[in-house]
Amino acid sequence: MNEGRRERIALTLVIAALAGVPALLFGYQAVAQQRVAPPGTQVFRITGVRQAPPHAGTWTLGSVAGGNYWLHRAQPLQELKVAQGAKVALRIGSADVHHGFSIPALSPDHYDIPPGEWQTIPLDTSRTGSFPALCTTKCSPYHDQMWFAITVEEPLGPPDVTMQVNVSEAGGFQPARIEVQQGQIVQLEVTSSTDGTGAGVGFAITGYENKVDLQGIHKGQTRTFKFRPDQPGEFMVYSSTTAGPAIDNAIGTFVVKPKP
Amino acid sequence: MAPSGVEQTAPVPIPIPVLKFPPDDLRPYGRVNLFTRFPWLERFCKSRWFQFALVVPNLAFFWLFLLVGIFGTPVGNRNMIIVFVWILWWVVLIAVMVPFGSRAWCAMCPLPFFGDWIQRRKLVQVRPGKTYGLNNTLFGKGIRWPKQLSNIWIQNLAFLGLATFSVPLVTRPIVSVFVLGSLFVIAAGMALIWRHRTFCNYICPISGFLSLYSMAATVELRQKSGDECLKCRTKNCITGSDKGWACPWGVYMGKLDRNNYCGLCMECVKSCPNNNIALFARPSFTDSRLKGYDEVWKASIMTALAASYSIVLLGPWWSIKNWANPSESGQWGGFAVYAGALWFAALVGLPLLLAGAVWLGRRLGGRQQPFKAMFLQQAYTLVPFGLLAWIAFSVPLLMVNGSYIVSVLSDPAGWGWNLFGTAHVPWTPMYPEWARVVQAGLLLVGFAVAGRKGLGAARDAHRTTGAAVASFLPVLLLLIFLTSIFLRLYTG
Repeated sequence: MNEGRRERIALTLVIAALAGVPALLFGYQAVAQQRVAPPGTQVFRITGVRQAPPHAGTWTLGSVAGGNYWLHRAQPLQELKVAQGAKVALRIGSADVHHGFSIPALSPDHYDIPPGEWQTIPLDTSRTGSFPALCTTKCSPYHDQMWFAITVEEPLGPPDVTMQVNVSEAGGFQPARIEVQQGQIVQLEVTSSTDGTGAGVGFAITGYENKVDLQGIHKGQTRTFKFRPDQPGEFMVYSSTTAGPAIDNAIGTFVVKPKP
Repeated sequence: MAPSGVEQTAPVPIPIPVLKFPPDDLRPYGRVNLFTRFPWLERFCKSRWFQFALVVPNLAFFWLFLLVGIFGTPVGNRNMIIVFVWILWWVVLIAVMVPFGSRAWCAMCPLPFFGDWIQRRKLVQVRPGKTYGLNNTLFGKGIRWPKQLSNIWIQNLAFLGLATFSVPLVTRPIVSVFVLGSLFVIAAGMALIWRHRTFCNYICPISGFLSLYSMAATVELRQKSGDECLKCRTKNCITGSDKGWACPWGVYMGKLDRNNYCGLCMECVKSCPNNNIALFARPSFTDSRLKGYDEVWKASIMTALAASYSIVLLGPWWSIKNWANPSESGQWGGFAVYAGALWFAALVGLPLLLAGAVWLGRRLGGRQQPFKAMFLQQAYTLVPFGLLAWIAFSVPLLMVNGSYIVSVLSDPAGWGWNLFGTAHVPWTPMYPEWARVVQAGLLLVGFAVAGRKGLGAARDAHRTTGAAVASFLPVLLLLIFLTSIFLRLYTG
């Protein structure tokens, strides 16, 4: 073999090593991510991060890796919105300490999330509403902040009417009476002024519990939710999250006027 | 006239087992030419592909380690860079490669790959020509490294500095990425300015301890016949030829009598016109002379670090562990205490104890040897002692944490892969109940070899056995003291 040919072969091998390693690594990752759930499933990769403040105790959709973990730039996930009936799976992992994971309103299951490992959790999207997803292991001093909301909505178009509701210990549900038309697409914007007993407040409508059940709205948060009331009548609004006597005893009225 | 004090101190027979060992430094040692025994090995070493074939796979692995260190999980025991570098590679290096392969790692190390490429502009072939008096064409500025820095002091301090931050280094992927990546960059940058493997010879923190402990290795690359080297007029081993590069380590094979600074690149095997260089198998700890204070302090640093690592990485002392891990614990005051104690022990405490023991031994032995010569001779005892202490630290590391290798193999970046179905293998220590026994056994072997070598050196330097024993006694007591500390640390 002549010298030039040897060098060319060697150069090819070096380039193959330097280019091939990242190609294989990231290429396989792209393939592997599609295999974690059945075809057609939308997979959300969510990482639990203990981290130091300001983003202490968060779940995040962002990539948390060796290279950025120490920069403390994980964007906290507050709400994950999915469409009713969609095939959805959550890929839950931990970037540092032992976490747990559960969506108590949707399933009694709870999952162990050891550091560096991943769990694929199919999400039940049959029921609309907004439900808290929590860390179930006392993971760190920031454990109580480790939650986010999963909101399952009907796939509706733009809203016909928007109703803003404030929930507070002093005033209960304000406005106390909400009136909408049957068949309208209603957008609720529910803001909480209190954390209640720590789990936030809820917003649910009797007779519409399977459609409207917004749980765990924390102080200062606004939960936006669309639905189409199809049954006329006068219904009671209450907190579906236990939030202490002031909120638990507060009642509002939701009126659905029949179509003219 | 015999120096005073010989008669006073000589005839005190001390019934300790190490006295039964003969001082083997006085004898020519038996060695076996591995090239004769295994002709395929000679063919491989003489092939121009030799080093390329060893380095490029490691280059690919280290490139993978860097990538998974940056983009993979920050969880150390689920990230390949931590598990493969600081558990697998480290244990193989210290417990297998160095004792049995000398500086075999240096032959396959990818860190200087780009530097070599910059200087040679060839990956496999040799470039004949004339550059600074050598028979090869080399590129880069080719400046000589300053004479005053031509020792391993920088490596000593670099290794001690890195080791001070060992806890974040061996648990946080990004810290390992930073350190390994920096070594690649520094090696390449230095190759642009200084000639040959200046980085490996004088800067690389890994190279420093490899040079020291390679003295223990059971292989050596040497001339077959010293006479042949004397007759040789071309000295192609150090000047290069059209068959091989001039020794990148600056070693002249005619004078090579220790493994310390030979990187086993096998260029001299190829360039020697007389076929006078071969790889030999030999008894372990055959090289038994330290040649400078830099090597003595390296031995001291390594011994102190073996103790420190056993405390902060394997020990039950959580407050000290937190001090050693300030980025996690935030205890920077405690870290200052820990770092200060470590540097003091490595740079002052242990050398001072050794110097004191040698000073006392010299008086007891009748001052038959200059202090420096005796200090260098007896400091060698820290080589077998320190190496075995490191092996005693490292082997149980593999026994306890080896199962991480199995799981990380299937999921190198901690992304949730399961390539070989082993990703979910739980942490399973292997025979942890035997770890203490293994550690105690290794420490005692280290003590025995150190004692044997120390006594051998003393016998070389003294006219009577009594004087030799007396001169060695304080060092022996120091070794017993160190062994008991290590036994306490390792076995509780």
